[in-house]
Amino acid sequence: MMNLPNVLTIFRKEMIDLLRDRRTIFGMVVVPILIYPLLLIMFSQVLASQTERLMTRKYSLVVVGAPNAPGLVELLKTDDSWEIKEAVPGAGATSSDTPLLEGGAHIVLVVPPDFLETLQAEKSAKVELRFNKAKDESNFALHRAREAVEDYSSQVLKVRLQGKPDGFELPVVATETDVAPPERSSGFHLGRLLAMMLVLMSAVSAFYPAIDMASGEKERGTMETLLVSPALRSEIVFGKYLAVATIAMFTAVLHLTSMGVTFSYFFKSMLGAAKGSGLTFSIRPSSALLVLLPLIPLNMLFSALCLGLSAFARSYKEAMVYLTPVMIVANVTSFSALVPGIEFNYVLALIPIQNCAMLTVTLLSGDWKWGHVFATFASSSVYALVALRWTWSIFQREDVLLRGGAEFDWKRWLKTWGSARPGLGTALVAVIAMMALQLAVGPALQGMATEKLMLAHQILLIALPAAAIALLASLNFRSTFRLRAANPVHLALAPVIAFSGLVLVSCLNALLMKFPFFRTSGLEHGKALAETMRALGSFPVILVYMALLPALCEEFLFRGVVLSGLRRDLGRWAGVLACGALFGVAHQVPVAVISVGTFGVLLSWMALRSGSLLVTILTHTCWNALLISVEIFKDRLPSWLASADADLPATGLIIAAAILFPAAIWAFARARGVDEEERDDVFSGGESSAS
Amino acid sequence: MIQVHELRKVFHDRKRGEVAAVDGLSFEAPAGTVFGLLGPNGAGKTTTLRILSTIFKPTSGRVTVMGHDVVREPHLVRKSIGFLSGDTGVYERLTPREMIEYFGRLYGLSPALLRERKDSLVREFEMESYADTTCGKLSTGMKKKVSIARALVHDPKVIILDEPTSGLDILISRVLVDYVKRAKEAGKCVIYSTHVMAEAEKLCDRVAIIADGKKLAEGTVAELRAQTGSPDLEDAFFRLFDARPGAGKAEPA
Repeated sequence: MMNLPNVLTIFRKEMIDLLRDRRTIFGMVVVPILIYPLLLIMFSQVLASQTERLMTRKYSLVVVGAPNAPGLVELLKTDDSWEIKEAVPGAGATSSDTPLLEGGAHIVLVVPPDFLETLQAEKSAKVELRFNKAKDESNFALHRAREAVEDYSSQVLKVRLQGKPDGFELPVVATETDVAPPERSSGFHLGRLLAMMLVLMSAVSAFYPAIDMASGEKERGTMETLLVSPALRSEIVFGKYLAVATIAMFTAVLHLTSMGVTFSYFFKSMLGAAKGSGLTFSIRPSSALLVLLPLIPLNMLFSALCLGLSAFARSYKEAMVYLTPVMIVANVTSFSALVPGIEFNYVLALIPIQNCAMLTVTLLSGDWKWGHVFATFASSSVYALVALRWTWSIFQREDVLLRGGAEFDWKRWLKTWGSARPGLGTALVAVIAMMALQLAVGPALQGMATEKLMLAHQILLIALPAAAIALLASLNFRSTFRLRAANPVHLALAPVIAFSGLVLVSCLNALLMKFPFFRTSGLEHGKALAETMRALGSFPVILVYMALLPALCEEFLFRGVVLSGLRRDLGRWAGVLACGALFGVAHQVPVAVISVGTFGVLLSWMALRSGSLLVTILTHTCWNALLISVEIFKDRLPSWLASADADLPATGLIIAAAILFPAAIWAFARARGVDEEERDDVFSGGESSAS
Repeated sequence: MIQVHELRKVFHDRKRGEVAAVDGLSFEAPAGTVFGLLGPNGAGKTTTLRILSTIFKPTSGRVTVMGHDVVREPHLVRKSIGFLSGDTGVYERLTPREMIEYFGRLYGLSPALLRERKDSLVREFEMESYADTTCGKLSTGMKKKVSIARALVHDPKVIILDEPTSGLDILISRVLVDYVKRAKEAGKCVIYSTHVMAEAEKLCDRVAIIADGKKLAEGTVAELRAQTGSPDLEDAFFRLFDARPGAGKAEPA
């Protein structure tokens, strides 16, 4: 369908257009080359002068109870960087805090009356250092005072140890040896910093070209011209995307090079001054080239995302408003690369942006796998494609041309409350809110009785966020959550699809469990489930809490607000796939991400086809109930149901399912849905009229 | 060449609910004619022309351009039309030649043909002196000429002009009017929307007067004058407009 020469024509034109723009050149060449040397010069100047001031200045020390420790005070007085004042112990130690808080003193040393006595008894005498952590000077003074106390302590120790051999006070001494090659350990540290910078650079680099190419074109009144030309919307989107990605990639590489050159020069001169500090920031040239690798998926993703948001916006200014949160989210996500102890794995490779940040860290530490690189590339490409598909759907919409205002009408909002339809944003907010709640509230729920825990977990953390978002966004509950009676044919087919689908997905599951990566976490998850069942006790109770309840709540969220939102902005098929994928990812266990994800795709398709949430709730409940029954009755199965492989269903069942499943799906697809209008409402996005 | 039958286009407006911008409009424009759409602002002219050029989809009704349905074969329709509206912009950082070349390529012209079209358009609209200056530095009139040349690069059989002379001085307007006359003689079909009666009187073979998305009358200028007993088209327009169904109600903005 897509014609390559047309894509190239658009690409070429956009490149010429952008490269003749002074703003592009400024952002692409001037800023990257100048910003790092300038930053470094400013930073090192301020840092040097400030640190020097803190290091060389005099600090005022108040000693409370100085007569109690004449030796210590004597020692302090030999150091002329102290300005020592003495104070009498007043009504408790706290009265001496006033100068600390108000700035009269930097540190207070409190010596108790029994100080000398305790020392003479060869016990451990205590002094107190009171400081104000909110002040840099006080922190520096604390550091120095601590050294002074330690010096005095070792003086006393020397006296105590008279006659003992050397090393008496340190019976065991450990030496530490770093076996990592120097470029690896420096690469590890440098990698974390670089990972953050990479994300930041990629996001910033795509920002301007994307805005100029989509919302800029609307604002200049040339969009209409382009849309009446025979170029396909996909050719336009792709040509523009290539141009954004090219400019952004070039900018990001230049940023990195400039940063690398500046900092390596800086470190060389720093290290020349402080030899033997053990820090070497040399990385091999091959490692430097490796950094470009995660830059590619990052760049693909950001370019697509920025272009989509920019096309969605009606004006330059609106595009800025939409792109700013993207920058913030990108930066916060990139901080995760700094969190110690996170090992890169295939699940992390699925998380956008973070996967690239983590990949950078592992690549520079030298301890990386091609599999991770491929997984990161593959998942990022999928996300970029989803973003491009969204951009394409915006170009399909009629209101892409209408340059109406962006005013928000509160009166209207209240009056038409409950009539809105969710979009991509609403869907993503719902999933993110659910996952964030799991993280934040989940641990607090541990320790509750199992029934209450299940109830709280499903209702508070899954169903409630969905309902809250629907209320806040003033969504129409009936259409968003598909609260409609179902076609009886669909209801009748639901158990059949649940049964045959479960058998087939179990085969997929069995296949995945052959890999140790999936197996370990999969078995652990299974064990946890079995434990919950044991805690719940009887079979009917288990069915209610583990089959019906999760089916109700999860369908409400995923096949309700999430699917409705994804479907509106991504289209039917991409919406179904994305909803399935999110459903899988929400289950977190790697093997479940794939098998539950597949189930999610099936449920999403059924929801759209039938138009009723009842159908998917029933399917989901049957599916859960079957899974639970197998787990409970697995030792009492009749011989014809038993299978040789513990993970695999019986051969007879597989054959039956392989025949039943397609037949049931076929019948399901043919039966009339209760909401046919949902199938062809792609073009009803117009918001204001034009004539 | 162009057939519009019972065309209806409804927009969803947050404030006013469903608004029919075009409401049951029908007309036909054969080859070798200039067909005028006359009406006040908000009458539905732009919406109709945007449907003809496949940017909007009709809510109901049937529209064909050179036998191609605008909904089912938008691709073929786009290839055969040249579209120009009064507020069309130009790429400020491209030169007129580059503009023409860009669209020529998108219309699939061969390099040899494109070179020939480019030269002849530059000559025809007298753009030689600034054909290689970026459009951002050009005057409004010059930009307009670039837009006209851009719309005509593929020598379209159907030319759709939406208030093309708005904001233009008479010199540039004349260039356009002259071109429309020549195009008509060359057997092309021109759809020309305007609210300037004098222009319509001079140019159009047939005129449809529309208001509120509905057609009030259609015919040659002479027929319309005779029908209303008016001395000129402007007077005829006022009589038809005042006598329209639902007249006296608040006018559309």
